[in-house]
Amino acid sequence: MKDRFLPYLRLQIARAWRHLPAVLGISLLLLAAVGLYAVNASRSYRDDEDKVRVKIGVVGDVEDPYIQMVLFAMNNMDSMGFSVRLEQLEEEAAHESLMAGELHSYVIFPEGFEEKYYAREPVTLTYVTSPTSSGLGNALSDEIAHAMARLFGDGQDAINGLQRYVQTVRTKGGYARYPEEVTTGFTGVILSREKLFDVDEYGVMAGQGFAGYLGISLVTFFVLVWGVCCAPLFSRKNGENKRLLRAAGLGAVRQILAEYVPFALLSLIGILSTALLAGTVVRFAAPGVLETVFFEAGSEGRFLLRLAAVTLCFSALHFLLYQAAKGTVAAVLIQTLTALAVGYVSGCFYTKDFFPPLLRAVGKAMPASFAIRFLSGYHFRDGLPLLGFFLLFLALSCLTRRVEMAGDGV
Amino acid sequence: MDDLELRGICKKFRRHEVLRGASLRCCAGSCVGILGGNGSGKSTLLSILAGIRKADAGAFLWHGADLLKDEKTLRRVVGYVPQGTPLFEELSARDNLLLWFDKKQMEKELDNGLLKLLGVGEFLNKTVSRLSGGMKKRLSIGCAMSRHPDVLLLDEPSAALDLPCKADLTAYFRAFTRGGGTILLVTHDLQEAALCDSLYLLKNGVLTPYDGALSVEEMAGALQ
Repeated sequence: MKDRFLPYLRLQIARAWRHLPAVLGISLLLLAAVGLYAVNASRSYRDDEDKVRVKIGVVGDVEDPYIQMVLFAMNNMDSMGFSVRLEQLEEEAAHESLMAGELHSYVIFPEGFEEKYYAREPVTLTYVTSPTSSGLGNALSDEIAHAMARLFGDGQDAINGLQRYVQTVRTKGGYARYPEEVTTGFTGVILSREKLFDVDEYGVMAGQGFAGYLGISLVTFFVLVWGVCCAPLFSRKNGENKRLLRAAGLGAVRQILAEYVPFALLSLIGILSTALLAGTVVRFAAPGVLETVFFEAGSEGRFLLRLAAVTLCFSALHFLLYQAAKGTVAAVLIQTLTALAVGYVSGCFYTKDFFPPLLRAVGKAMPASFAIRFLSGYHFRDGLPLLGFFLLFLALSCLTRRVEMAGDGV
Repeated sequence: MDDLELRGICKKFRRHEVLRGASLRCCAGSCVGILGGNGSGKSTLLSILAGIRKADAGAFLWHGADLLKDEKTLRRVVGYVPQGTPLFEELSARDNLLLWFDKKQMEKELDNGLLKLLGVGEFLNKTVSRLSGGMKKRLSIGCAMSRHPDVLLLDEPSAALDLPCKADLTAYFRAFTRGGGTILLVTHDLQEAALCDSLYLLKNGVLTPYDGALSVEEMAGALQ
């Protein structure tokens, strides 16, 4: 008897091909929506005076060049994407601004701070905050005050040690250039944000800039939410033909395989073509952005390869959701809500390390978290969890089909 | 000698016992009608006979062989037309047929075979979603007949069809039984039941022979 697998596969390919224009059309609309979000998000993260989120006053004896270097370093590190502004003020003005809610806090450097510190005399910075201050801004300013003191202390210790070393070796001659070189190098270390502190604690993966993270997380979210584009393909679900195929010897697993393969091809065509189009637009509209994203992944080609792997994993999830949902409206809703929920806890919109520990743990176990990591150019073995999810989603699809075909209807 | 026999078919969905030993017998070339109210288990019975659902107990004998234990023979012997339209609506009738027929076989059947008899050729290239209910039903029957089955299971074949369509289908079914085919037809339409050589009532999960002597009102009472 004729095996139905290949004819069924051909039929499903014909269906996918028929729906391709609609799927591409919806993909473009979705791309426009995600693109608008990206533009809006990048604007809000821009280092703009009007959009400073955490403003900290610095008052007191801050004329010392080392303190100025620390302030410069603090003002220029922005790997979290939060605009932090340290502003030199008179103490009275700082107090007024704090009470008016214009400052989150201020730090007082006491008179002769640098000399006293250098002389190993007890000296402390004073951190002033308003009793009404609360929330993330205040927490951040607290951290920044600590970082400032630490930076200054460590910086001074290093420079002090270095000067003593140079004084020792100078006697041997020919080493006069060392203080300048090493001081410049040290300043470079201070300003190099990934070495300044463990960035991972603040939510962005180690060594990754925020722009790259944002770009990759948005690409991940796009692939995650792309499932809604295939609603036309599943709008006419018919349980009868599946049962008939079962009766003709085509079981749940082979049915799912014959349906998933064209769906995966459709997903690859839809997402990769949209990605190429978006890449071309971004290359002209915002030069430099793409390089940031591709730099994280290694190269453009590698990024597309990784994107294809992520697409396959997520297409299995989309496919499963379409199996589970009854009706087009329910399917679109479940796709959208799943994408939003998974995207949110996985850190597609904000770095997930701002979440409570439990939510963070849940987020880290989500496929989108692995996808962000994989797309960010880590080892290919980071794709293994995605392979696991891919197989899990397909297995669940087979199970759903089996239950659906068994049915309880009389 | 009975060629076809259902022997004590039972089916339970969780605690709900739908079939409690349904049995019937008939000869090849006959049309047997199964009447029953909504939810009486008619469709469940047909889906078991078609191999879609598993029976908890019982046998479906064809010339003495239990088809429920031999899926390969079951697939060859039995054709099933479900109540709905088991078709892919966004594709053409041709695409749908190619799932069940080889290309050559389909062309042969269209030239001078059952597809010609069903009149499928006239809407072969039309998208299924644009076909009328009658055309869809003819196409569904065409798909079910691809293996030239000996037994055709029909689940309310003329439901929601207009009179000319019903007449066309009736003519086709008569031709099928005249050629030696056996039809098991599930219905709650008395007009459709008139096509049958023998009738059974399915009530409380049991099939009982019905001689057609009851009036509509009496039968309605019997089915409740």
